[in-house]
Amino acid sequence: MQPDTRPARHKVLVIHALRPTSRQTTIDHLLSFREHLPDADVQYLHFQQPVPPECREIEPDLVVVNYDVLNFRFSPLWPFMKRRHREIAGRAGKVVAIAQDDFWANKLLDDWCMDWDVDRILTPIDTDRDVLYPRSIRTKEFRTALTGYVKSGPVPVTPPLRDRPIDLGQRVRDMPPHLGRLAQAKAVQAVTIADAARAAGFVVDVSTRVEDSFLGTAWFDFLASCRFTVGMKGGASLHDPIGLVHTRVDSFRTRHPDARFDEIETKCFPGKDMKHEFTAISPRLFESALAGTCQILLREDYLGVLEPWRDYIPLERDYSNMEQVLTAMRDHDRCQKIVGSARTALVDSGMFDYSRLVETATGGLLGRPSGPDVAWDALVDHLRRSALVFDSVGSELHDAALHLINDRFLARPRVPVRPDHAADAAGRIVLEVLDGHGMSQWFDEAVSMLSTDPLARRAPWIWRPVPIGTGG
Amino acid sequence: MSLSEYERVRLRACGAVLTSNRRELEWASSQSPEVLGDDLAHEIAAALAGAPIPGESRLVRATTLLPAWVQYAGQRAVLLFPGLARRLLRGTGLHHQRF
Repeated sequence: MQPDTRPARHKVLVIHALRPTSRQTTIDHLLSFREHLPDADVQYLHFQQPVPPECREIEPDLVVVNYDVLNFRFSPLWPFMKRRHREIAGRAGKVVAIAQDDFWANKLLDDWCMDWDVDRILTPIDTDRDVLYPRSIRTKEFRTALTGYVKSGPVPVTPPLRDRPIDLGQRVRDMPPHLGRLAQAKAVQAVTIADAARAAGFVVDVSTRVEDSFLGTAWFDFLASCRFTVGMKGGASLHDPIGLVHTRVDSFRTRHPDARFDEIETKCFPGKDMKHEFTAISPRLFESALAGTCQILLREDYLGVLEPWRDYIPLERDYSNMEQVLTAMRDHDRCQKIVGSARTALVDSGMFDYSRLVETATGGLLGRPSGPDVAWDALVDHLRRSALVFDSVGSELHDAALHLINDRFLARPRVPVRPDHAADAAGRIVLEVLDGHGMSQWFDEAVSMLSTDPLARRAPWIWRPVPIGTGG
Repeated sequence: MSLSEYERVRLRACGAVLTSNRRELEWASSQSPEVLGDDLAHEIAAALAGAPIPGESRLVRATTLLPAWVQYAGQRAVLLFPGLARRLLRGTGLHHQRF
């Protein structure tokens, strides 16, 4: 056998949960590891994706578990998900968890961190961590991460404030009541200032309705068409360790769809709210800076770098300076300077681009790279072939093939694999296209692995691979 | 070799049938019958007639009357029976939330 003469590289496995509806920011977040660890072999494994037997003995130097996996913790299937790929994490040199929205169902997250023996936890919450992670706080390393970062590359060119058609624009989701009163504050703030601005004669486009939200690049285009936007830190004020309050609130709202927050609080969580404040910076801070939109923000600390009246227009918590804010909105020259200053602090400084996320997650954890690993090479090959269907042929075939497996081969495992599906147009078409594009072997392997998979047999969900054509 | 536009439309329509996803089925039913073909168009119409409406399942609404901890424990207990779990997810349309 020829000796392996390739230079040793760190083996980094990122476990993710991409699905057809994942946002571009989640994909950018995942790809940042490949982009900013150029000397490492970074591979992406979906938590649902089965691993062939020859790959199961891999020993990665580092496993990173992304927030989209951990956000499944409230799913009833979480006990099955927790077991998936746990052996791989057990053999890894180090394990990093990237948490988000860890202010609810936090006990499930804390228990998972202990169960997987996580070494480092990244969280956007920097207050009351002992409440959220009562077990992990004693032994794990915690680092603060943001919920969004600036993507590397040229800063987009956007029109100056005076050439924009909308004075004040924002989209804010009405947050569910089980997150507490603090979570409602963002929508209340946006509606309050929108009403005041409209009354003062400004052109306003602010909405809290889901159907008014913008997807993909349309959101950035909208932001870049607004002179001002409004915001504050996001977060929650209700501690709900395993999500029982969530269940109670959902049940109550199903029976009383028009109930207001105060009524829901009285019925579902009396006396429990506002005992904590779990807050985090919103990624919109960066999006607005990139779009060159002047930000009206609640006066508080933003990463220690934004100064009121220099980088943003401050709004007091009790709205007592609303007139001052509205007057400032008429001074476009001054506001244009605020925009430039915010862009310098948040974008040009490079302090908040994705390389910071990767450094925060992996810094100091990658020692000497481990040696050649046959199982790792087999995994790389397997993941490449899996992603090929999606990347080179098309997402429609990838998704339809997995739906076919879910519907025909897992729901009714005794049904023979191929010939009998000629009677069914949907199944027949998918199989024909798979054959036509030479992807039948991939399909047969997937059927074979998924048919005995405890998670796949219970959940008719599909996964998406991280695109292999981008990110280095 | 990447998919043609014709294949893309047909495959997405196949996915809609296979998942009984109402929103996707409505999209599929608005596509040209020449692209879909008679067999697939027929399957789309049949699937749309029986597709669950997420949030309007009588079973799901009934469980909201139970105490939260009973719902919590019940949702997890169902998973001991994979076939039942799949049928409930598909029959109520709850699984579409993850697509």
